[in-house]
Amino acid sequence: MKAKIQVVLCKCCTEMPALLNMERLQRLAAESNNVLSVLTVDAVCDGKDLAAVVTDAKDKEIDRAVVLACHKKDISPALFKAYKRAGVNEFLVELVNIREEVVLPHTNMPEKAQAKAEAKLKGALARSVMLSPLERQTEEMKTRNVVIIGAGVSGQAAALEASKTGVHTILLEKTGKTIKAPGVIVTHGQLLGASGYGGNYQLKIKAGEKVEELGAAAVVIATGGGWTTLKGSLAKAVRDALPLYKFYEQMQAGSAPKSPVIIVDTPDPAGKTLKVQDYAWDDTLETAIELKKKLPETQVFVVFQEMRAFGLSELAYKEAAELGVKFVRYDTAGTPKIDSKNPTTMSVKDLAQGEILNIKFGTLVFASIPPNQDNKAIADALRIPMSVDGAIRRGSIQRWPVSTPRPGIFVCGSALFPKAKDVAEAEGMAAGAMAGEFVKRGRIEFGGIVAQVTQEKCSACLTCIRTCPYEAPFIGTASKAEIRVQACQGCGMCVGICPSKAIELHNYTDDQIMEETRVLLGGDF
Amino acid sequence: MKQVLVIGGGPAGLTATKSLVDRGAEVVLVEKKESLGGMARELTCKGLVECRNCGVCFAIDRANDVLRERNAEVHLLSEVMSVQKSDHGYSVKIKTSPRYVTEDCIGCGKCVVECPVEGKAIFPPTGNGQPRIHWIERGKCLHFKKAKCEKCSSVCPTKAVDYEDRARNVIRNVGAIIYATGIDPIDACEMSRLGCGVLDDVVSSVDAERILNETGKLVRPSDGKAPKKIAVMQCVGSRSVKTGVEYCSKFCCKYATKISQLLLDIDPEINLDFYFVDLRTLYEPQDEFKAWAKAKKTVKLIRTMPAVVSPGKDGKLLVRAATENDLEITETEYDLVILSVGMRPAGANSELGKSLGIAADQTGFAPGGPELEGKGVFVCGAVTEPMDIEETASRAVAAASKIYHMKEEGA
Repeated sequence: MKAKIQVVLCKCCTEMPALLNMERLQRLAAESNNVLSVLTVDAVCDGKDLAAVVTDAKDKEIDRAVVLACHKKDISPALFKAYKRAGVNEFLVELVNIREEVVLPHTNMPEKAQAKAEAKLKGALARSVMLSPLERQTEEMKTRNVVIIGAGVSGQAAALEASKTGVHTILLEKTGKTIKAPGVIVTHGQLLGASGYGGNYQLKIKAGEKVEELGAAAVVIATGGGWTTLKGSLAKAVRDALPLYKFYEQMQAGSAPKSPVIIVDTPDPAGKTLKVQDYAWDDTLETAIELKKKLPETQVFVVFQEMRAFGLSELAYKEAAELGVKFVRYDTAGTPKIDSKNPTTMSVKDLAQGEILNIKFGTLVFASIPPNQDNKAIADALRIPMSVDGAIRRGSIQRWPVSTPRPGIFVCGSALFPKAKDVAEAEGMAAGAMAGEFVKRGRIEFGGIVAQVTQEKCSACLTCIRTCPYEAPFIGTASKAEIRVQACQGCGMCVGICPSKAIELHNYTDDQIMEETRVLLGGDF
Repeated sequence: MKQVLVIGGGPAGLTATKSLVDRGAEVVLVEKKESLGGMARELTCKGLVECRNCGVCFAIDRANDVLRERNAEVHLLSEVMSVQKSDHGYSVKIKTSPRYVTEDCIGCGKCVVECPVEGKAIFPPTGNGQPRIHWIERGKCLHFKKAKCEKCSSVCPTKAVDYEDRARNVIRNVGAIIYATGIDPIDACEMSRLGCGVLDDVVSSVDAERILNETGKLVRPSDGKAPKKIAVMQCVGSRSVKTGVEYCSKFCCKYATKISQLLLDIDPEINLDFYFVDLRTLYEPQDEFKAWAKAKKTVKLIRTMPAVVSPGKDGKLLVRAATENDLEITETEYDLVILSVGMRPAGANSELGKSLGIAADQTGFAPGGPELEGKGVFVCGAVTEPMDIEETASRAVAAASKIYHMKEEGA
């Protein structure tokens, strides 16, 4: 069947600022093969012009179109709807960004602009002929479950906010502590494995002793951070060592700590792994201030590499210093050390004085928040990336702040990086709201530009399965790779990496790309 | 369903608007300036080689989204004149100043070239601000004086200049208000000892970002040459008793480290000295930047607050600083000095804010709170406390969710 192409020139952009010779472009389009109609409109986003485009397309029984206008994201979605009305598949509408790629960079070079516009038009026409129509499909979500991993500050906020949207929340908490939150709460719960795609995940969870299968439309990761404890020989030697939150709880309960108190940021005073991700700077300052106010006689040292008192915490830093809290800054050259033979003295090189201090302490408090140990298992199960430090990595902020690269998986709070309580809460609310909204839609849309495996060429080497960030490829019943279209995001990574060239991306096949390139370069190459 | 008023078209206001509109609410967005994007308009993308997650494009993309939403009514060059409590919410009077350029503008810029006024009277939108429609400042334009100049109108290819444009007043009834007036950068010249305003080659980080955003490279303002040795100074204006900004502005270390990395990406030969007091790279491991600096042979991290920047030999700048242990004083010559300025909340103490019950606390920020939220007034974004774009966005989504469900409960 011969292609019937309609070429639309949008004057709003192409004539701007009267740079291009429209007549030449029109003639070029009209003289090309397969072009049935050439239209010049004032603005393709305008309703009246859209109607003209549709009428023309219907009259001439057009089946594909090339539109010379601006960037895809600037063009009104109404254009695609209009073409749909005229019976043109949306994947057969080829856009050429004349405004940003031709007009704006060449405002003072009309000849170059004209040549580029013509080349781009020819390329688009060559590509348009080779495109095939595609359809997008929808699938109902099987459940309305939002599974939230972790019932800390951010997890509880997420559960509360998600439940408001009318979805069903399931909160997995590793420990057995009682939690007040809407929905089902699974104590001693853990995520063991996961499969599926955004909207229809299948999770394997451990609830107490039982292992259960659980369907989830969306997942919120709110694992938070961990706390440091002493290990090895030091653990036996140093009696009064405890994490900051426990120290704070004891202080609130009214017990007086043994003076002097050292609050230290390092996760390992034995001196081996000194990588500090971050520590609870504002909790440290708050605790120190409260302690000093309650028991002014107590000596308090804060030993740290970098005082990261962000934002208004700076005021607390100042107040703590005024109350007589002693701040000792060290660096990797003189890290704090405790000898197990002398377990009540910490030696550290204070950079402000340039001298080694030997501080005798009564209580040792750890304020370091290393990444949660469970992150790796969760990230592996859900196939989302981690940072080098062992935290969950957020997706690019270009999308939404608490999203991950996989649709339907959100992450918030200290699972990303140690955060203050109010920030963690706000992030939890945002993640919960977004997960709720995602599930409320009830269906997922997929298909269109997705990958496809030519089974005869596939050698089942598993390279695509290892490469795909979305778990789209799998080995089917024929022992060959197949693509789970619901999961495929059309990124093309498997296409590039397949050693047998067995995978192609719809409408970005080798032939299509080569043909367009050949025309753009003006002939054979 | 009642509408929601969003005051401020920066990252916070835009994210909240988009979130609300996505849920099916109607939003009236009021922005004082001529385009949407807020502070992010003049900031530069900091990823030349790889995305550095600075969040600037996030704000600009949201501006684009919001402009295309039917349920978001955007008022630019507008101010909220008064807010009155009515039976079911608030009655809001919005005053829009005339723009004198219609939506037909395609942003070609011919009018700006033609404008005879010194310093121009017709402007493109600031930085990356959206929409890309020009505007005329009435006070400067000769058309409104005796001259009756019509040069811009005569060259406009789309006849978008409309001198008959008038100020408009509209009244909207809204159920809730988001107050997201954002921040103002601190003027680096308040710290006069660092040479701002006196020496041409001392630029604030805001200027540096603007130049990088517009031209893609940073040159010395005095002679247009590419700088070979650059000093970046942290905590200018922040953590200072003199400027009254005693808090830490939270995002300066984040953007300054990213600008430094960008400058090195553009020209790997640059010698860069990074003066800082505490390295507070927000939500990033503290040793990441240190490791990067160590790997680059030409980058030096110096922990001190420089004392004075004075003119040196051959147009260079002389920076006097004490060493970290206070034992010596060093003098180093630089081609360019970038001062990383902090921020102050904008509109935390405005008349409008007071009429809504929003008042600044002793830190200068207006934190809002449950009491105000019960009345349907949500304070959001960096006017509540120092924060970066990413945190702002999370909080805006949270605020939008709260409002949406508040409305449902009330209905």
